[in-house]
Amino acid sequence: MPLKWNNLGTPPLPEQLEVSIFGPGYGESIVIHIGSGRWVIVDSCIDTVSGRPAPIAYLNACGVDVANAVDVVVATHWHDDHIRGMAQVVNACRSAKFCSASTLQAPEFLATVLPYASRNKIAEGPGVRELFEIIHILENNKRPITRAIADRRIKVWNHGTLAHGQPVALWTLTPSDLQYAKFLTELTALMPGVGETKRRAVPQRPNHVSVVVWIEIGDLHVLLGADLENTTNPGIGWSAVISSTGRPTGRATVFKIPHHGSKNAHHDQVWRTMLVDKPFAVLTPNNRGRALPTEADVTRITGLTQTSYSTAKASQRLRKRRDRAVEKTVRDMGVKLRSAEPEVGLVRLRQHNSAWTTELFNEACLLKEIYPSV
Amino acid sequence: MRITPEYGNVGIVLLGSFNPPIFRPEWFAKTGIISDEAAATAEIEVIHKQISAFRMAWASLRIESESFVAETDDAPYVRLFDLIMKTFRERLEHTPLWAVGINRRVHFRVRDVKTRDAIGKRLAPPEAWGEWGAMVTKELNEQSPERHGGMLSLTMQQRMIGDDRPGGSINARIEPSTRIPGGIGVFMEINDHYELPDRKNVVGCDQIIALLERNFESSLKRSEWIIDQIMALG
Amino acid sequence: MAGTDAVAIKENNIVPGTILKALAREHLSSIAKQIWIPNTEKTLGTSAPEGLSIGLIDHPHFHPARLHVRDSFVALQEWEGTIVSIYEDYFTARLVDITAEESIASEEADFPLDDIPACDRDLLRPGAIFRWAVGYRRSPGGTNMRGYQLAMRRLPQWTKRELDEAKVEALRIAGALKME
Repeated sequence: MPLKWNNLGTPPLPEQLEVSIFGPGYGESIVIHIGSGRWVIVDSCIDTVSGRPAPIAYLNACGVDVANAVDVVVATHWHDDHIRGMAQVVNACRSAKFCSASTLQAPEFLATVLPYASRNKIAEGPGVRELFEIIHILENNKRPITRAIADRRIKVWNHGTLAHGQPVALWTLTPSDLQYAKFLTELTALMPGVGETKRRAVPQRPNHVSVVVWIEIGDLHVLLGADLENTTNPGIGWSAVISSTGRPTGRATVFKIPHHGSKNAHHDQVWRTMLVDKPFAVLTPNNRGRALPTEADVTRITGLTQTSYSTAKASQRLRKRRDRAVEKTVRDMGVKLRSAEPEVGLVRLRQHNSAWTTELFNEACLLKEIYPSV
Repeated sequence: MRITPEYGNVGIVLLGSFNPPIFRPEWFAKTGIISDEAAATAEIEVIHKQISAFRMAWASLRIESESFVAETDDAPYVRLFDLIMKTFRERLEHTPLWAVGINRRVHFRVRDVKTRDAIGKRLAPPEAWGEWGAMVTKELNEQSPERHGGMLSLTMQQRMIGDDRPGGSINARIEPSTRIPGGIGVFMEINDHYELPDRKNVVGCDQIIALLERNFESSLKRSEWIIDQIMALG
Repeated sequence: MAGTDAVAIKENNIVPGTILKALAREHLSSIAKQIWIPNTEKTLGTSAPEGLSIGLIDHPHFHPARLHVRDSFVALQEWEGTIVSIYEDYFTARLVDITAEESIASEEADFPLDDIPACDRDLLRPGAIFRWAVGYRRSPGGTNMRGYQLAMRRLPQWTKRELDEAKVEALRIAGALKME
């Protein structure tokens, strides 16, 4: 069932905080209303029915003038499940700061990815195409990139400017210099070699330059975990974030769970020291390849907070039906086709006068209901 | 397409300057254009200074001094495109090419003889042929369609195509099918032809290969759309 | 339409304005006479003269029409796949529905490695592209067999020139983008 963009109720009040998380089951995007009609967009995904970027479709439905009302657009990393439609977002949100890790300006990164695009129409994949459309827009419009690095305050909205009277700040907590250096080292695996048959770029995991975003609205905090995972190196991943002395203090009430709730992205110290007790926690499931979150992940997270949600159900992998002869042949081959593009779901959290409301749209659900048996 | 064909074929024809004897299966395998197995099992028809022709499991190649013809009867047709791209982009970029044709051939089965005759009459109305037209179609006999008179072959050509080709045309030919018996088969061939205006001064293959790269998939889609226009008559 | 004999002779007609030239029988026959044919009365026990290749052709006439009476694999459904991961006995791929003219990979599947012909296994790696067609193999005799074709795409290789050009362009972009 497609998300009915025009049936999502009214836009937030000027003094209301809103965190809306979209996930079609492959891809995610977060839209934050920080007050007085000012918005932040983190990542982009496509609404599979309309073909538009979900954040733009949503903001248009709210009557928002995206060209002027979006203050920051963050691309947390370059995996295509986080940047689908991002070129349209960057183009439409003309007055927004565009924030990403330094990768976009790194010659090593560009020299690795460019061969997958240039003179390679046959093999050009959608992620690479999107990346170079974004570069094209930024270059042609001479728009600067605001560098996302560990413990950097990207933008401040002074308390006098917003209806709720609170100061607001947006920080990036990653990547550290070490994370960035590791990413560049591991890029070599993707680098095409002379004489190799052309192919598509398949992103490496884990992604060490995934940008974690922290937003402060007065005493209220939001932590958006992107796809940051842990590694055995304490200088990289969540361990580095926790041990950083330069990051802002406070505990988040809203948490976008990183990397689809996987065990690799879980860190007990994040829950103990960076989040309030029983926060609102939202994840977007991954319905491609290895399904995430697993049932064990769901048990772990719901044990930490009952106010945990998913933007789509794990079972939502309905696939297209085709001609009987095709279906039979595919079955005879032993191949199981599965849909990788379920429709967009939305978890919307709004806060007004210290009271929170949670709304679930389309296939979004309580996390405990993502697998019926859990 | 509206109807799945009984038989399908795609061909890519390049006009240029070639040296036929180099085009042996072993050469294509050594350069990674085809697999070693495809080369080992290829049936050679002739390797000669004027012509090379051989057949692999999924394609046949025929090269003369001024033409390079690659055809396949088996989907996925993009394999043919890849073979040409790899040959000329990687190995023979200095070969002068001045024209390329992307050809789509299908044989369709229609419902019955009457349907096929209706298509023929619509495309070539016997009334236009006056009294002789009446004589030609007098003996239409569903019991022995081999004895029918009527349209034998018709070709339509489009010249002003409006895409990026410097010269050329689209030619659509329709005939009774020689492959499907019983008077219920229709054959169509769409030849999508691209040509450089000044063949004498062509250097290398880049322009023609770039045209092929940009237009192969869309050409096949357009050919199938043209075929659908006729199939709608049935 | 006119009736025809069920012999595939028409496909060699020369049609004005096309570039599909027919190879007339007479033309090929004259070439056939110039080629050394093995194991004939004259050539038995001898080797081909230097510079001439041998081929399997009927002597003295060549029948191009025979080339066109073949099986045909007609696709009902075609996907383009990109390999994402390779495991011990299967690989996972994302699939774009070519038949539906889609451009986004909206499906994915696991395929047994055995589905890839042995001669194409060296092409298997993450990012490699293949075409998967499901349909019917139809023979001139009228038999129909359901089946599939799974073909790795043999794309051109990256050249030194392309990679060098990418490095130059990378430096240009890095210089053009402003980072603050």
